[in-house]
Amino acid sequence: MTAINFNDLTDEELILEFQKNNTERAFEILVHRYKNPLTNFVFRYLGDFESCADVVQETMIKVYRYKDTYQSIAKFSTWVYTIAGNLAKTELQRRKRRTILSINSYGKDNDETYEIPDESYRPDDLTDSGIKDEIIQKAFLKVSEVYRQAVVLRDIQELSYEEIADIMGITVGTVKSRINRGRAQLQKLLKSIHNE
Amino acid sequence: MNITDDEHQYSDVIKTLKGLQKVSAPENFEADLRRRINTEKFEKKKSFWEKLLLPSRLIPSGALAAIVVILLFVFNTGSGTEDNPLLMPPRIREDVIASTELPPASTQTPSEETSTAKVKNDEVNPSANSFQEDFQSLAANDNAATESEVSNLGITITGGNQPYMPGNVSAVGFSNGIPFNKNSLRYRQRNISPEEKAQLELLKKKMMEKLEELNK
Repeated sequence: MTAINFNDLTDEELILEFQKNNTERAFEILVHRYKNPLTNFVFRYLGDFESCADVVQETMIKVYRYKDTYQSIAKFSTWVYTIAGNLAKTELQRRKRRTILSINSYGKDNDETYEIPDESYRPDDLTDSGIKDEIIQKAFLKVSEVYRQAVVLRDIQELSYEEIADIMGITVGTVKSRINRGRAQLQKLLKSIHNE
Repeated sequence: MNITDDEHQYSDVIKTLKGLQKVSAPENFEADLRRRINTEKFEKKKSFWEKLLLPSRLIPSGALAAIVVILLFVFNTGSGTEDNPLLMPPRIREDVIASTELPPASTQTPSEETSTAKVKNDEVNPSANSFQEDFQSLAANDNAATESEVSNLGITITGGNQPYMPGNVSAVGFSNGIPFNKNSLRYRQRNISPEEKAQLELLKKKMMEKLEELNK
């Protein structure tokens, strides 16, 4: 009897192995395969590395705990991206609530006026690639959430329209529409970079 | 990924997005994940009922329930909305009024009325003596033919050709046509003494003899 080389198995075979035999090695390989793509996806969606790492960890814990809810009719990548997307949305909502609370409580006691710092970059600073990345990320965060998720999955994660439709639970037509609207918003926001 | 027609107009955006640096997971990602999973494994999940029946939840909710019950008791006993039965007007029983309609007044002499009253009294409380009087009265009217009418009693006895039996009262009714039978009579049942019983038997015997004579 030859030993199974788990690295040669597909994602679906690995999760089935984890479901049936509770093989921890299969789970570890899945984590290894998906930790970076999921981190990239969640980071582009949230724009914060700390909370992004937490969300990806939480995603993997959910995969571990609810492995039996996965059905082999769906692709594993679709399932895991759906979980990560939902957790990222929850994190965004939590962050919004926190922001509203902190703004409301600020200056209540001493009648101070709000002074929100303007952290926008000037065009003459656009030299370093790291800064450029940051500008793109900031512009990206200004795009509506529903469009942003679709654009990230298509243009950064390079998933097919069908996969994106499955992940977001919408039709392919709606996916295309959202992606184009998101791109249009981003195009306006990144005009300065494109005119260089 | 192939660029479709829709994507041509946003090619600059797509190019920019593809040019972004890939973000990788932190170095200790897998170790942290393993630690978190192991921590969760040893944390026994409490069921809904276990959580619900925790003393920290049970005591306040129990106290609240007790307060509610006490308050309900206090306010319910204080609000006396019920009528005092002693001050309430008596209830009018229409069924009693309807059944107490008297038959039309008869043109009887005072002596006859006395006799009627006596008979009516006997209906309510028959005794051996009243039976005796009735039978004597019937015997006195032995000349009655097919239909004997005891007008002073307000009672009509039909079927005169047939022998009269004390238990057979189905043919007996008021002269105004309102029927009555034994079941509708409200007479008091009483235990009779052996002497009374003997007297009654004697009367019965005499009655039977009389009826036989009449039949002949």
